[in-house]
Amino acid sequence: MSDYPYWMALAHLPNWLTEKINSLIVEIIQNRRISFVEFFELNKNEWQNEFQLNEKEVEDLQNTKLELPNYSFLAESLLEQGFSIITINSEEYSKTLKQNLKMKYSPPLLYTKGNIKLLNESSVAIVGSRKASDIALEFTKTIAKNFAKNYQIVVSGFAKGVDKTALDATLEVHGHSIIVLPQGIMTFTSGFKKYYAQIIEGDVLLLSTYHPNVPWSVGLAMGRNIYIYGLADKIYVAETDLKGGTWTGVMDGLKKDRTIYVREPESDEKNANYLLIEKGAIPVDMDGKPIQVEDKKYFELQIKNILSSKPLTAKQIKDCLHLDIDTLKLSQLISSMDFIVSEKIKKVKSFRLKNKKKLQGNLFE
Amino acid sequence: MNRNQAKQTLRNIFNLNHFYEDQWETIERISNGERILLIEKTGFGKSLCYQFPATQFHGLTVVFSPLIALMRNQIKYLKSIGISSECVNSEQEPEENSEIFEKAKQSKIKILYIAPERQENQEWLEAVRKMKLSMVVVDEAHCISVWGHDFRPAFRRIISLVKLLPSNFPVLATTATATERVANDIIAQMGGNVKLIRGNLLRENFYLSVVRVDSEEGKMAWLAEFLKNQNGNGLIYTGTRVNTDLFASWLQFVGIDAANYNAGLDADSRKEIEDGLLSNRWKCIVSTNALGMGFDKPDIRFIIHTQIPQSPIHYYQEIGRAGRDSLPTKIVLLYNPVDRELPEHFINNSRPSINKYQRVINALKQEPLSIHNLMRKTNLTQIQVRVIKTDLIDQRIIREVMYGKSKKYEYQFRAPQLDTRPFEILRQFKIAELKQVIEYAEAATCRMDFLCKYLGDNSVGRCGKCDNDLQIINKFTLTDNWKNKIKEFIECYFLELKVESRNSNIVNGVASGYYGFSNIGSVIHRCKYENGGDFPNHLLIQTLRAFRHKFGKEKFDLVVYVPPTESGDLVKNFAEKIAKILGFPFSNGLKKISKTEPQKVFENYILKRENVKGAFTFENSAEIIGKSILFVDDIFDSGTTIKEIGKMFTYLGTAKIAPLVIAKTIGGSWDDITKPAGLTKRIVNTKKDNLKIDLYKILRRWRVRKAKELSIPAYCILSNAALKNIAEMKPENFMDLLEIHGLGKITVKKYGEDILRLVNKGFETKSEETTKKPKIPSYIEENRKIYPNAYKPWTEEDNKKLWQLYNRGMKVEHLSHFFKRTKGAISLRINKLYIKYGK
Ligand SMILES: Nc1ncnc2c1ncn2[C@@H]1O[C@H](COP(=O)(O)OP(=O)(O)OP(=O)(O)O)[C@@H](O)[C@H]1O
Ligand SMILES: [Mg+2]
Ligand SMILES: [Zn+2]
Repeated sequence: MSDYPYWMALAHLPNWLTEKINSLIVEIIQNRRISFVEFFELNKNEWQNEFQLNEKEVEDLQNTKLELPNYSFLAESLLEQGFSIITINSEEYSKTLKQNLKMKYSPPLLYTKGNIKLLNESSVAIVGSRKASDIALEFTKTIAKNFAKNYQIVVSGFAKGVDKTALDATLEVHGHSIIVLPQGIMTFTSGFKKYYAQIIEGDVLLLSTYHPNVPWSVGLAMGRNIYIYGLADKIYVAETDLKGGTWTGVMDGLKKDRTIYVREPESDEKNANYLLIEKGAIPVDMDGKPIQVEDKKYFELQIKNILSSKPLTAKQIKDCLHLDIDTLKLSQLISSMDFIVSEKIKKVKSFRLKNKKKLQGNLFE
Repeated sequence: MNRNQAKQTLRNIFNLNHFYEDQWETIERISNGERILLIEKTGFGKSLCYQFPATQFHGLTVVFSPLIALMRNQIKYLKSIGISSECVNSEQEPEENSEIFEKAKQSKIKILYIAPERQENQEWLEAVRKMKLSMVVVDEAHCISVWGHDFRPAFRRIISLVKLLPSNFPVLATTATATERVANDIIAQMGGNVKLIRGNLLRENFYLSVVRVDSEEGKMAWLAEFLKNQNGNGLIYTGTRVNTDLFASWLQFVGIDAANYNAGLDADSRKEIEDGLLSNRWKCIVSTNALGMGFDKPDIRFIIHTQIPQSPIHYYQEIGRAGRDSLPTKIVLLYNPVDRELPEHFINNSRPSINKYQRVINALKQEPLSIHNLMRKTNLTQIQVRVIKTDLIDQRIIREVMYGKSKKYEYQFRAPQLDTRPFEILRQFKIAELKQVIEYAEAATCRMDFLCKYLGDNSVGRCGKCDNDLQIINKFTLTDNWKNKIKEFIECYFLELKVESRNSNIVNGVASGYYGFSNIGSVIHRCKYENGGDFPNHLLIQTLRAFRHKFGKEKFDLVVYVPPTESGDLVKNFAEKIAKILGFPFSNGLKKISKTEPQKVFENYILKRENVKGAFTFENSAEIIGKSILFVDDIFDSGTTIKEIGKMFTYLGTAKIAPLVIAKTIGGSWDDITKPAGLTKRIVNTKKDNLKIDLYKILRRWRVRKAKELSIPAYCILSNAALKNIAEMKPENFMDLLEIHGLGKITVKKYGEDILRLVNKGFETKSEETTKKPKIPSYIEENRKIYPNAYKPWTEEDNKKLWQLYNRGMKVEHLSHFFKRTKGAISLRINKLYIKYGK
């Protein structure tokens, strides 16, 4: 007997936040250690009292329960056609994704077609706008090929521009790729045909987190960005505007303390790459190599950036920026900058920005 | 609901008095959400075990059922007692099926019957997501197991489905015919957790007997004698579709009211015969086992098999249709010991050779393909492709994937190697089952006991009614009287050629006989390939008889013939003679305008159709507008050439095209070649031999050309014996070539490529894109230049205008000019409008 219909019923509970679904799943299979069958046999009161579900949620569950046989039909059809259904508690589920998105955003189910082993290989995402400039595409091509040759999985979203370029370049050198779909997996038939050779060779994995039958939509396309970032160990930005999917995605990533690399823009480029560097992304050259700290302008920018929210010690700065430099020397360097003041907090020398007020509380969490 | 309440409901709804014990037990457990495998004898009342609960559940009960006739039979009954039920199947219009889905979604149906193959249908999968489901039933569940009779691959998916259904969701599987091995297999496949309920199998009112005959003619004569003295109505089972027609015609010939039934008939005829069976419209129906399993009619008084069934289980199932009212019923097996040869042959050849599997795999490694394109790419027959794809899916080497509404086959990442061991095991198993049938036929002990024991019921002992228990020995010898009568029959046994289609004016025609019958085939062959001269007079007489039989005194405006490919003027002379005798004008106008390959190079109808597309034209097209044409040819095989010519004539404005041919080959339909049969045997062999001979001829011609090209004597290239061996072995690759006697490495290196190309003509993988583009028939292109509106659809406005002008007396010629369409198209349209608007 297989649990897939139950998983699907829960994963697609209408208007439930992912976190809510995940915590219910955790409660059922991890904390209570009961089966889904048992869970669905509980009555309304038990759902309300034991699982702290409100009236509306209980009603949703009751409706979903009636749909279980229907999900059985759908699951059978998916499996028969060779799609995989990967549950969040399975070994095959991408550990990177789980780590990056945590319980709050990790999708409970992944629908895939192709080589599922790719989910647990080291991976990069190359992102950027649909209307990226030639130079951004050139950059994308170069680094995608480099990664592919080094057996890194290139995660892409199958959008025009940077996404497609990254994918094509990867496949050109017989690299491996995960394509995160902006639609239900069963509806991607043009892609089945286009990437047939790569799928049967095991070079490509198609992946969707949505209900298998939903067609493409703008909402889903925006919604999937988080999974692209989530599936990648490293993120490279080829080009971003001040708004749009790439920008929001990257800002979100920075907020979550993820390391983000961005192509160093030429002086006359009209995009927001430079702004991203100011916000804390690491600039890279056309080969994707981080630009050295000796470049004083960037170095100061990074220091400014990193100290913008809270004071830090030299050691902490060194770690955050992945600097290959002696801590003492770094300390001296920073001290010499005119926008920096240093002070002792709990007997350790820390740096902060001149115009920022002294902060209180536990700063070193 | 307790049993008493239920009994009351049973009376109210089903008009039955009480439940049998096993019925009640099943119903109770089902209502508790259990999973049951119910094995009870034929006619027991298994259907009630789901029909009753279905009326009590809130939602829908889905019944997977293997036969369309069975579905219709059940629906008819359910509707008659006021239970809303429907079936969805491939013989209904898509709109009708969609409507039923809609009704099911709105909970307006209680029981829905569908074929297991539906599970592959996108619309159904979409629709079922929105239905409120209460129970799933797998009727005739033995189809799940390869060890059962009538294994149906689509049932495999039903099993996967059952495994995915919530464990407390009621599932009922029923069958009468499951050996212990099959029962265990079903339970294991359903994932355990299944309660088995099993009753005994004895059918008390059956009088089983076996009649020894020593020829097909003997069977025919025995049947005629038997039926003249037999009360009531019954069924006669033959092994093939072809034989249903043959035996039914024979019985009609001797004055017995018989109809024939098989899966090859169109849906309407089948429905009519099913209804007629229920109302005893005919004395007997001659059928394949497409009308078998599960069909419920109370008073079938006799069942006769003209061919040994494939296994004792098949037999028990097929005779199960009879005597469901418990009155005495006669069950006869006509047995000729040589009958085993053909089923044996089919069992041994039920799977294509391994390199054909490889051909399919290789094609699918290139790109995903529909079944249609798979046939084009591999030049395998439809049946071969079907068998191979089923096996490959089963072994998870390929999968069937939905591309929107259409299906394609995909090779799988990490696909395993093809494992042929299961094929061999199954083959041996089937041979063993066949041996058991022969044992039944030759048994000296109680026959009912034999059958029940085979199915795992040891409780019978001695039925006291079978021929062995009563010590009757049935042996039938053929009298000269009958022999003559049969000869008379065969001489006027003509075959309908089914070629009618919606967008063509061609009508069904007639053949004077089967290619392999009464030596027609060998006579034709001698004339065509061994310089035997014109087709002899007796073929002419026979063909004229066929014409009279089919068309009576009908007059035709013109006789035409298919332009020759290799038979020189044979067909022309033949057609001319026919025209002369019938007094119809004769024409040489039908011409080939592009080069085609001989049709027999192509194994399936798709490639054959493409081969002849646009290849014909008629010289003086004005001559045939609105006319009726009799169209003569020697052999009718797939019918693709005739249909293409029919289309061409229709396009040119001919009102009617009727084909008349000397002989028809046995088509490649599934039943025809997988089910054993007596009479088809000779035919099958002749056909095969011909293919060999033709390939040999092709190879010889190639050798002559090659010898000229290289200026060396022909024998230096390859010996006749070697060529014969090649024709025999049909090699598919260099490895095959090297194994052929008479071919050395050097020869293979020099000529291998040529030879392989000849043997597997034209199937080197072209890309799908290029092969798909249909070449536009040249007559179409020509017409397009002169008549720019040709091939554009008629609008309502056009219609009105045309009708108006026509009624004003404008001539077709002028109308053609006015509408920029051919005269043929105009007169065709006028005909249509005539029907629509009247005078
Ligand atoms: N309890 C009952 N009392 C009287 N007649 C019954 C009862 N149950 C079923 N029948 C009748 O028995 C007949 C045969 O039933 P049904 O078609 O269900 O047989 P089955 O077991 O499915 O046989 P098969 O294996 O041949 O399909 C029907 O006409 C039905 O009305
Ligand atoms: Mg039945
Ligand atoms: Zn007996």
